[in-house]
Amino acid sequence: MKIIFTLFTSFFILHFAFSQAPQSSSSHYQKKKVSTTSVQLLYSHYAQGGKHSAVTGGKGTEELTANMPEMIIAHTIDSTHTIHVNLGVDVISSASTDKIDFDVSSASSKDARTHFSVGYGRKMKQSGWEWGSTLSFSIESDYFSRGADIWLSHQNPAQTRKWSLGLQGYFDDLRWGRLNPNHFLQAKKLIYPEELRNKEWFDEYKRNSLRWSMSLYQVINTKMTLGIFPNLVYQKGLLATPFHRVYFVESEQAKVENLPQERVKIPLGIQFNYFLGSQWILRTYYRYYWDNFGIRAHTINLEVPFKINHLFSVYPILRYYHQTQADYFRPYKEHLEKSLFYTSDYDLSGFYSYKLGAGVRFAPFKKLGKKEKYFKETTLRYAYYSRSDGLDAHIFSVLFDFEIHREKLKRQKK
Amino acid sequence: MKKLIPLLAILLFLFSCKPVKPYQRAYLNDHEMQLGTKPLESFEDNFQSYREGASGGMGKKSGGGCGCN
Repeated sequence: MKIIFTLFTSFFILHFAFSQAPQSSSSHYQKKKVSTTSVQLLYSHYAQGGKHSAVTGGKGTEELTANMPEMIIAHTIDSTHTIHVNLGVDVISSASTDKIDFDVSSASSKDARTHFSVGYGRKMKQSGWEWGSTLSFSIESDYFSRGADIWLSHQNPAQTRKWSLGLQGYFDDLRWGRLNPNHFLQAKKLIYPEELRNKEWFDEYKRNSLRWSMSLYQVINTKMTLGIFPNLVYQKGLLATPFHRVYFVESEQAKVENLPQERVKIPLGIQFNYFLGSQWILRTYYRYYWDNFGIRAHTINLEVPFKINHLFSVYPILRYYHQTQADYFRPYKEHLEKSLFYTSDYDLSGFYSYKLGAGVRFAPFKKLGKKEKYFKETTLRYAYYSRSDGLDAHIFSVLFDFEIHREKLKRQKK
Repeated sequence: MKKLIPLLAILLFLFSCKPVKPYQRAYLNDHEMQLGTKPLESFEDNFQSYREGASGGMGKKSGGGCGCN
């Protein structure tokens, strides 16, 4: 983490130092530098219901609402350098959160997750190579995460094939207390269910995740594109959630969820897009997933945008998902006490789910005022999600996308 | 043999690729034809990574950085 941070910082310093180098005095042409800033404002509202809360051992309400504003800024300095910043807050209100907090006990407790990332991307002129790096942070009452990633990509001269390789690391701390006024920014300890705080259940509070990703984008012909996305993920540390209860057949006494401290995940995604005629587009996606917890999953996603005219398009959304049960999952009071690992978290149970929804996009690319500011597009999206164990959710999202252009004339020297 | 079929289908696609000239890219450059995840889809990806055991694929987050699986 420190090495990545040092490399990242060194690069920034070197880049800005060399960018101040004097221009050649023999230059007799006027150089025009065009920079573009893209500002995306996003907001999403999520409301969920269900009756299998893992906090109460696989039974009890899972009611939850979340409001998630986010801002993404991408600044293209010139044709080579890009900087992007992302800032968002997820405000979550959950009926079961009040059963885990050290200090608060209310009918519906609130939590907030703040996330921030800053990144840099550089194109190597005319060679088709591009590379970049991102640093990210996120914090909530029982979670603090630092992340970093580096990536490298190459596009062929005909611009019909692009591949990229990436390495991403998250270094998480699951101790509670950073957002509590009494312990501000100081982690206290792992948070266990109230009646199980008589002992320390885990001597580990960190969760590290490493992810290797690859992608291949291929143009097949003038109307078809294909993308292939294999990933390999390795997680080590506290993978159980310390405030999840588990109840056993033989006893009324609950224990804290326990899961292995290593997990390997291999997802493979394939996307295929096809422009049907001149108004319909078929966006299809399939993913196969494997992990060493015993979960095998298949995902199919279909979107069919219809272009009403050059400004408006509408699209239906359909997604089907199926997963097998993790080896360590049993419902409420079905675990045996002799088991080494156990969870009643229905996210790890065997189920299928579907998502139905629709979106509408309005893209006028309209100039705002006299300056080079543009309103690019707005998109509204709604989806209903239903899981076969009874959990369901509504999610509504909206995007406003703006772009600002600036031109700088570099004075010539004679 | 069953597992080889998707692989063969992908190879068939890749080997049947045709060159595309810049003036033929009108459909390919359309917003809806872009591969990968759009910004607005990231919210749905995020809650799905919490509510499902599987995550990742297509540049999506696949564990870490949040309290998700």
